[in-house]
Formats: sequence, structure tokens, C-alpha cells
Amino acid sequence: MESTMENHNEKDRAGDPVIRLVDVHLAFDGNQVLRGVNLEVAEGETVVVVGQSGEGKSVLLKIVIGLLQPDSGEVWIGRDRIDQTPIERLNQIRRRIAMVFQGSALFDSMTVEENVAFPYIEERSLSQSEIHKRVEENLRRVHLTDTSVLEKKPAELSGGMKKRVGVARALSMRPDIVFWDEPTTGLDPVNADAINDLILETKKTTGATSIVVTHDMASAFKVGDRIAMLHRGRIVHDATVQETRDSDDPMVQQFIKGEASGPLSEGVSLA
Amino acid sequence: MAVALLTASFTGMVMVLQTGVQLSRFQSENMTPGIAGIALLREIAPVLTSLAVAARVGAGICAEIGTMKVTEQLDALESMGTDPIHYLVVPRLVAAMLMVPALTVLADFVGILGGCLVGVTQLGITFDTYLEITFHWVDLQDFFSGFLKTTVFGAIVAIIGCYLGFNSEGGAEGVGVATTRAVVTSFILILVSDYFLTALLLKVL
Repeated sequence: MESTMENHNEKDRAGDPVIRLVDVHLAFDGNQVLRGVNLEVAEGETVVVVGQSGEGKSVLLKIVIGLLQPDSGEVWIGRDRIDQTPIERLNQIRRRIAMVFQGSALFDSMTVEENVAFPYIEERSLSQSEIHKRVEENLRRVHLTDTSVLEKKPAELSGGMKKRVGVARALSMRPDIVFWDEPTTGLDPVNADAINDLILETKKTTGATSIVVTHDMASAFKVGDRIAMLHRGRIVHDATVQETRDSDDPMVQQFIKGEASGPLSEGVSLA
Repeated sequence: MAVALLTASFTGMVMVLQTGVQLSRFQSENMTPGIAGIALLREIAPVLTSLAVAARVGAGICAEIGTMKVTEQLDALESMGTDPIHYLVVPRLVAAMLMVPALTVLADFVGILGGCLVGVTQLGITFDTYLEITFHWVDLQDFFSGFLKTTVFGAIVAIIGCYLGFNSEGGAEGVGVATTRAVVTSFILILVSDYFLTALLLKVL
């Protein structure tokens, strides 16, 4: 962990982007999902990756965290090239990264308390009471203050609560980098906005660098510093939130307005 | 455990019934306890217990890990820097390799008792005589021959369940397919490996 932080500090001094993808390609069974993705995220920045369903947004996140291996290209976190990092080192790096999954990915067999305490498993110096205290604190941070929730299994929670518990678990190790995979999908507008507030709050309190993957434009505009649009395996638009709003790119406008007809649905060639 | 013991007891009972009736045609029914005991310890209890565990536990392992795969719980584990093989596979493998033999010892015992019950009630052999003949015929080699095989059978059940669970795809349907495949594959591998292990152990023991 110490060497991880050392690298992180070297990266800070160098002023390089925290996350960098260079010409990343990936295909599944002959289906080319990513066709040369280039993306950079600076320290403390929140980049929202938007795009239609099936465009490979979640795949992109999984590549950055090393859950999927690209066919070609480079994936960097700080000075570590993730696609070539040995698993032991990768696991060290992952401990300063948090990922909030679309379906929360809470462990079914565990209670809420056990789920949120899971990242502390390897912290052998912590006593049970200290872990319990930290779990309660983490749940308070996501506004789950009712202690009866601790003993519940994920199946007993609502969608919004699952998301919050997922966030509490992800943020429990005070990460430097946070990946949010479709954080508002499947939630009602009130709960969705509460999750948006959580993303902003996390950024404010931890200063974490974030990538948010979503197709919810209200969320993208609220939480993002920059918006990158993924279409047909490439980033076809990368600009600030205001520039995105003002963009005259018909694809971007169609996506923002959520219109059924337009270049996105007509299969415009990007060549 | 209940399934394995139920299987062992009724198999012991039916074996003694069949063997006793057939051997009585040659006036050799007094050999029944010994033959049934050897068959139970060497083959019937180890194989049927392992098949029962494959159907019950192997399917459970595959379904649980498969569900974790399709709901991204495995990804969540990895993203937190936890090795899923170390965290999920190793404990299941060790448990299966220890518990299938333990269960087989119980099945040996229950199977012999079940056979004894039928021997006493149906074949007119006294309880003491039944046990005396059984222990005269059966020795430690018979016990260990069956016992040692079950560590391999346990490993087969855990490895197949975990492997197919980890490779599940396509949501609930995919998990169902993987689970069925895990049970069928485990059954086949247990039966095939039983032949080769028996051939090996007959030479070694």
C-alpha cells in the first residue's frame, strides 16, 4: 500500500492525468465493442461517460479497473499500466479505487453490516468494535442512520437503499478514485437525485477522481465536470458540461433531448 | 447429510435383501452380511454419497457462484482487491475434500445397520451373527479403499461446481444451465474416476 501511495505522489508531481486510456480496443466473440477509445481524467475531476445502451460504457469501466483485458491499447492509473500490471500489484491499486456497480453487487449471503465491513477483512489490526463503528459511520455518510438496516440482507432492501449500501461499501476504504456504473438507473427521480447528491458530496469530501457511466443526462449535467460520449466504440464527443449543452453536434443534441430519430439511430458512419 | 444417509440406509437394506434372496438359492445366505459389507464400504457408500453430495452441494456451489457472477458480485470482490479463487474456491474445495469422506464414514455405518435390519427381520439372521460375519469378512483395506476415493470425489464436486459457476453467463437461465451441467459432469467424472481409482487402489492397498 505504501508503494502505491508513493507512486500516486510521483504522479501528482508529474502532473499527469490520474486515468488515461490510449487507443483501447476490445471485441467479444467478433463483436467489436471498443474501437480505439482515448480518454484522460485529471485529478479530482469527474468525467461522465454517456452513450446508448450496449455501447460499452460499463465495459470501459471494467477495463480501467482491470476486470477486463483490452485486446490492444494502454490503460494507465497514475504511473501503473493496468493492462500489464501483475495481479498482486493490481490488487494493491484496486484498494485505493472504489467501484459502485449498476445493480449494487451486494453479497447476497451477507447482511448489510457484513457487506459494508467487507473491505476491512484484510485490515487485521482493526477490532470488531472498531469495524462496527466504521460501518455505522459509513452508513451515516450515505444517510442510512437506522441501525436496524445493519442486520438486513440485500434482498430485504429497496433499490435506493441497495445503492446507498453499495456506495457505503465502495467508499469505506477512503478511495482516491471512484467509478460509478449507472448509479441512477432503476431508481425513481427522487432517489436518483439523492444518489446524484451523494456523488457530489463524495467528490466534495474526498476530492476523489471519478468516472460516472450513465445514460441519464440530468445526472450527467448535475455531477459531471466533463462529458464524454461513447458511440460505436469511440469517444465522439468530449467537452465540459456547458460546452456539451451548447454543442451543435446533432448526435449530442439527439442524445441530450432523448429523441428517437436522428443520427444516433440512423447509423451515421464515423469514418 | 439426510439425503446421503437415507440413500445409504435404503441401499444397504435393498442390497442385503437382494443378495440374501439370490444366495439362498445356493444355500449361501450366511455370506450375505460379508458381501454386502464389502460392497458398501468399497463402492456403494462412497459413490452414492458422492453422487448425493454432487446433486445437493455441487449444484448449490454452482448456483451460488453463478448468481454471484451474473449479478457482478464476483466483479465487486475483484474490484476490492480480493482474489475470488482464494476467497470462494479454496474453502469450498477444502470443505468438500474433508466432508465427503466424513459423510461416507457415516454412510458406511448407516448402510451396514440398514442391511443388518433386513438381515435380522427378513433373512432370519440374528443381530450378533450378522455383525460377526460382517466384521469377519470386512477389513480396514475395504474401509480405506472407499474412504480414500471420496477425497477425490469431493474435490471433483467442488472444482466442477466452482468452475462452471465462474463461467456462468446469460442471467438466471445461464445459471440454471450451468447448475445442471455441474451435476451431470460431476456424476460422470465420479463414476469414471471411480473405475480408475479402484483399479489403482486394488494394486496399492
